[in-house]
Amino acid sequence: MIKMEIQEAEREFVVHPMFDAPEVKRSGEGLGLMHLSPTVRCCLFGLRAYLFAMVGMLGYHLLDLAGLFGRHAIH
Amino acid sequence: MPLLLEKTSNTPDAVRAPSSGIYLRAPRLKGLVTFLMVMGPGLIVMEADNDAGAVSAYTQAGAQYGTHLLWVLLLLLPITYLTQEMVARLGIATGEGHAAMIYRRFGRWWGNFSLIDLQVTNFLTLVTEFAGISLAATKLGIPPIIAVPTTAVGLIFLVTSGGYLRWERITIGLCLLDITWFVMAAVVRPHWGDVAHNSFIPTRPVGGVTSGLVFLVIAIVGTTIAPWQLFFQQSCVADKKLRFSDLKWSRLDTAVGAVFTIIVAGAMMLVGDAGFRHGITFVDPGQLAVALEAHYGPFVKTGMLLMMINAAVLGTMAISLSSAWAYGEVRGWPHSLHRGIKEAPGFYAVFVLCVGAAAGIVLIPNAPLYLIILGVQVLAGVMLPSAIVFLQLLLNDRELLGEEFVNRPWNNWANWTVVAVLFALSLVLAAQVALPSLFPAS
Repeated sequence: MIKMEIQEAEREFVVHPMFDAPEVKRSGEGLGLMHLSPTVRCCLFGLRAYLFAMVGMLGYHLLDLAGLFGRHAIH
Repeated sequence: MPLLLEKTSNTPDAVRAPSSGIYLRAPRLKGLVTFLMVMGPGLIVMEADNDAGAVSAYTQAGAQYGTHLLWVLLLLLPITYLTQEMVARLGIATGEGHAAMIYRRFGRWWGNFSLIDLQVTNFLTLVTEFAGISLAATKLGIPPIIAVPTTAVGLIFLVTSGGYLRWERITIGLCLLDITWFVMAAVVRPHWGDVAHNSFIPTRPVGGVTSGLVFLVIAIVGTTIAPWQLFFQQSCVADKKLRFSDLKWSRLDTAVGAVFTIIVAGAMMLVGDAGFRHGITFVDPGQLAVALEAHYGPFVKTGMLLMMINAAVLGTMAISLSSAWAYGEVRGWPHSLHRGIKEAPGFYAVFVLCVGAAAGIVLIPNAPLYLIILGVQVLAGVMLPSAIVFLQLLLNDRELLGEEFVNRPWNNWANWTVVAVLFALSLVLAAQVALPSLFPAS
């Protein structure tokens, strides 16, 4: 009996993450927006302008390729 | 040795542990068994990225430049690992998806922008996946009108009918089918000396730096690291409920996935290299598969066509799920593969809509597929650096993550370098689109 208990204690118990007790995670709820330094804000504003310009250019190029502007169309 | 899990309840939120689990007779196996339990999101996100577009990009790279671009793949290995490790860490720390985090920490504007950008890029990519299925099925003698809807219905059934674990096991099985690429690479008998040399030492291909070469390098980078991967892995990690203690195993999962994926990509390039050695030119990889039959027999042809379909299926599943998870997170809908259709109707509706609409577009006669493929390559290239910028900012958010999960200084140096390189590549891509004469034509 004692031997069995020792053997039981020596066994490793492994639980699948999906069936384990839920953990308290680091939730962003209630924290609000991230504090950003003026430099980071400025960079994000630049990023916004960059993305608009790039998407606009891509859209124009694709419409051009589709022949919307009366030039070379690709099918 | 008992290896079965005992589930305590059918409703995932109510499962209780540690009353359920397994006892191991050999304690030294604990690490291995835990890894096998945690494994999935990292392998799937990496291997699903070897999608239809990737097959096209890697085989074209091989067919046009032989083994000369293998070093690019090796260079991408640490980059892809570092990027995905961050989302795994973020997912484990917060238990939430990427879209939800951007909304919460950067506000509505960036949240909406990221979501719309993700949905548009994903949808266009899905169209290319079904285009790949259509091309490969046609070469196998199956009409697209049968192959495309059948695949779409099969995917929808797989995702909607079985819960997370069944989905993950089947998807890992599909990922492992890509081992077939290794066999095909061996069958086409590459020059292994060149393979070893060109994998580690960049060499100048014949013809020098042309617009074709620049575009291919950017396509390889763009296809190896895609914005949807960030959203997919974080949501998948959160859906699987990985614990803080699983982080090291999740990192290993991501590393194994990255290495496996890069080796598969290399094998695709070697199959393309067979076309280079035999002077085969092609537009889509299906044509290469047919042409290679004359030199290497029907195995390479059939294997390549089936693996094209497998790649597209994996890509479609992962990309559609990343869309559905992201939309569900932002809308606050139930968004989990643990839940049935009745419990998470919005989540599954987005998935079905993505798959169904993309499949439908491919079946439209004379649909502008070329424009869609071009658009998705450039759009993904443009959006990726900005997506990684937000990831970087989130991983430096001490208020949210605490000291335990934020990036270390070396992490930040490495990642900002990656961001700078990606921005440079996206600018080159934009310049190439706007000024096609910037580089000499190939």
